[in-house]
Amino acid sequence: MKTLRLASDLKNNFKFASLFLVINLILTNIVYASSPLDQIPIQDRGRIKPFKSFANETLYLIHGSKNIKLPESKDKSKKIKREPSEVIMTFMLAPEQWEATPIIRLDHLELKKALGFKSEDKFFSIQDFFKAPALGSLMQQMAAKVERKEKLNPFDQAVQKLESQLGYVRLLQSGDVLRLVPSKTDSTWLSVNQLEGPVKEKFTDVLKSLISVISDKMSADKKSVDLTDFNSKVLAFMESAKQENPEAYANPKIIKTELHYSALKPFFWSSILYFFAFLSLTLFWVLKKQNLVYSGWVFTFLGLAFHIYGFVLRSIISGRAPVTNMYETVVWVPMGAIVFGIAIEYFKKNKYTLLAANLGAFLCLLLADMAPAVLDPTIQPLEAVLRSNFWLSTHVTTIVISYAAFFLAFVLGDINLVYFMLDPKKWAKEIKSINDSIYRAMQIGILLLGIGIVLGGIWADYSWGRFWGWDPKETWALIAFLGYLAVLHARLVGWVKHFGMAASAVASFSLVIMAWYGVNYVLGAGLHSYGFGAGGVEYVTAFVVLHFLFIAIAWLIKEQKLKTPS
Amino acid sequence: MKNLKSNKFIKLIESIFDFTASLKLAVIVIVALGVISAVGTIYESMYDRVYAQKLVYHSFWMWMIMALLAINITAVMIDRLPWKKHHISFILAHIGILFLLAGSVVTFVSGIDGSMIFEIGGKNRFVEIQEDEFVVYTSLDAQKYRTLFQEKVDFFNRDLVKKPMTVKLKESDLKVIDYINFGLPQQKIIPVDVETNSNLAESPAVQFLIEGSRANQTAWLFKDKAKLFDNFQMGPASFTLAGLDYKRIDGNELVFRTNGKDLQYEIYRQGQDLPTVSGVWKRGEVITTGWMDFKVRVLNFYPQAEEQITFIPQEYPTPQTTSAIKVEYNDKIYEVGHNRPVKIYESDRVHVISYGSIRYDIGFDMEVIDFKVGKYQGTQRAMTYESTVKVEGEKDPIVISMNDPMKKSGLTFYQSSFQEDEQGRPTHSIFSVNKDPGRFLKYFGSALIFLGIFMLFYFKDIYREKYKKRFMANADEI
Repeated sequence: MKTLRLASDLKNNFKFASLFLVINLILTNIVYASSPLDQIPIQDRGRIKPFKSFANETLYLIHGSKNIKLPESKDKSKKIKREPSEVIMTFMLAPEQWEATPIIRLDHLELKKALGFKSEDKFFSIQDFFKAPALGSLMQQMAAKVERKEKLNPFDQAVQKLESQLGYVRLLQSGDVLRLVPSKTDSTWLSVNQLEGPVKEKFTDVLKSLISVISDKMSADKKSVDLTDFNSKVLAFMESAKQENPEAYANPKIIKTELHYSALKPFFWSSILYFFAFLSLTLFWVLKKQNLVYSGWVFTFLGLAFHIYGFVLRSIISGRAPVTNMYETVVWVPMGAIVFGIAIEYFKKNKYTLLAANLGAFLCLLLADMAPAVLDPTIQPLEAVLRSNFWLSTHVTTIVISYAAFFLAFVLGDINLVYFMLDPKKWAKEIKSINDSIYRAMQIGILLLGIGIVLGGIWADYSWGRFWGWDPKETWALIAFLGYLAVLHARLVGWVKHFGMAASAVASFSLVIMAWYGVNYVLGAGLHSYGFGAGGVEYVTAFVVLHFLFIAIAWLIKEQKLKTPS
Repeated sequence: MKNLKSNKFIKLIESIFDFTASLKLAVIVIVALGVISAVGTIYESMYDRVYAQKLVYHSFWMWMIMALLAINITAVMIDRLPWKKHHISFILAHIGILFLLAGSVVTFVSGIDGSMIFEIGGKNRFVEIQEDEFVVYTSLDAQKYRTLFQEKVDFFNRDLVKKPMTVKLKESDLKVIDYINFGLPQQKIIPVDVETNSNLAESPAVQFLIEGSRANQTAWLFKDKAKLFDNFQMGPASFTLAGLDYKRIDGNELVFRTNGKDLQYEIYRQGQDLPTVSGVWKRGEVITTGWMDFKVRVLNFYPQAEEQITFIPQEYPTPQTTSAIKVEYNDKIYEVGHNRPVKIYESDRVHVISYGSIRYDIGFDMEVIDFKVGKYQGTQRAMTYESTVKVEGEKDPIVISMNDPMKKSGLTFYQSSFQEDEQGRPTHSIFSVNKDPGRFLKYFGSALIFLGIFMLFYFKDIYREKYKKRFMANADEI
């Protein structure tokens, strides 16, 4: 009877969830199939991508968002729907219109002051910048530093970013950045200004048609805008561009895959599903309904399916291993946490492990989604040294997946500290059970991190000629390894007991944070410098410090509770 | 009495052994190793790789902690004698660490870790390694040089200010009196007394200030003996100090010439072959170019000059800084940069003082005959780079590319980087050259460690037996 019930529960949950999946897939397919403009392949920043990706990334760079509020709509009651691809084209159609429009986002306070701008303003126009007397000398100073190969401080980096923002606006206005047609002789594609013959005519047709589309949209009396003429012109241009050099032209399947990926947002959906799984498992502790555990499992597996699907898509688009930059690691870790969570849960059956894995995965994916300035989600080509796919994929993925196991231990540690604060005697059984999971997670982490470090040594030996070179990234991976090794050895001596296990799962994770984030964003040195970025240091530091405080407070409360007789 | 004393002694020995074989020491060593490494990474981030290595990774403390680790592991394994079946995983993991450490020592002692730089189209047979030497050469005719002194040096770990290094030469002593870790080379142009030097106007120098609505800048022009001219560009404008055989290319240009006494100038305008203005410069005169609204003021003019490089100590390194030493000889102080030998002229001979990387002869000639950089489509970002080399004793040229090294005579040649000129054309190809005799030990050790850890975690927790009682006690105590 019981097994039957379980089967039907699972069935219902699966029905519900697969419906969700199918609706989502259909919706995204409708969206991306509708615009040929989005599909035009463009060569930009080292790879071929759909025009939509180019538009999104470029507008994000310039404006901090892919949605620009346009100034020209006079009738305010009517909302004009503007796709990023269309907005990008207007830069070329009406360059002068953008000169006085505040579109360039500048956040750096000191730089705003140096330029004489109001610190509360966020967006500035090109004219604002060229009127600012300090701009030229600031850029010269920055360029001189680059020339001398000095380290750039955050202010210089802000100037550098501003320079590329201004540069991109100019390139959009001139059309030089719109490399839409493969060259017959060179690997660099031709920009729309370099076109000749029929393909030039076809592109002019596209522009003409676009102008009429835009004026149709702006006129208040027309309710819907007919795009058939425009779309056919775009398709004709693409066909003509392809004829220039069919071999160099983009594979339409990969272009469609990328559009599908950006419309579907698989990682977003998997984070939602993990959240539902977490919710179900939390509710189980309150309502004690076994069904909630089953739905927790179902949501977990569905989330994982989206997660894996996302990585498959990214690998197809980029043609390389999926873990090469900070963003990808932040998305890769929760997947590992879920996998290890499922495995440990399967053996331990305490339901905490799965709950912790889902909570952690949800938060981690949320983080990846929230901070695109620090965690750049765009797909970028690889640095030369990384172009050895086998060792790269094995050593990086192994090390980062070991962080996932430590991350799981960290979340479990946090949960356990809460139990210690509630009542260490009453919850002794739970505490022990969670600690068992922590111990397993740490073991998995140590084994994988160790293997990852040695694989990294093999890769370094193979491509740089040394097995171990005290590079900061590898050294910090070793320090994290030593930290967890110290915990396990201290456990054998009796220095680390139950509270110690939970506390060290939380505390040692700061070593992982240092190895994972700190080396790239705080130390910023070494051969691994290809993954470097900036930003978020204050938040990460606060995160680490708060957790140490949390451990201290939990310890004080625990001691207090143990002293008072129950 | 005697018996008791020896008993005490034995007990002391026993307790020392117990401590060296203890897990407590293991935890202490592991934590210490982690802390020292962390300090190293901070040094590397603040300074550079070499600095961190000398100060931390290859320091006395690091060796001590490694030795302690080896002793601890050895003692622990002796403590477990006689070994039983369930000890296998534990022995494997820990003996693996010993192999790994042994491998590192072998690499450190007899390995080679250096680099070779090739001009594209050029030959080389020397690897530069990270250790330095100090050499003094001498010559009577400035053609054939004889080595007077040669010694391996480590100026970083030596207080030269307190204890200068003295080299006894025939005429007088040469002293190395100071070491600059991060020196920014700065060119200084100084006048040479014309009367003591007969080569008139072979190396003149002129310093001038360009003023105007678009500029306010000073510049030096220094025409070395070997050069036909020296040139300074400012946008579309060009400033030249010309020698005898200088041929002008069209453009807006101010040309200085000298006969060894006076400074003459000619101003050219774009598209014209003859100068619009020319004359002999008089002290205090301001030259108006007639283009770009420039006024040129000559600040210094030396009919005969020489270039001197000084190294300004910096707190932190940049890619332009280099280490340097100060050498005292005949009451004069010379600054010698790393791999930048300095000549000291005397009445009848010339000395060359060199402080630089030790060069290791690989035993055969190599020539880079071709070099290619693959770039990502439509960008300047390097995707791959590869050198085609001709190796002495090999029939066919060999391609060395990133992640595809060449192996020969126990050495491995890796494409590590390249240099390019201002136009972005590659000029030099750089290989990293290694010999790692400890490689096998390291790989073998790593394999043992992971076999051991795997067995330890997933087959049997062997520690459990010994510590069972303590665990049982801990289980109730929170």
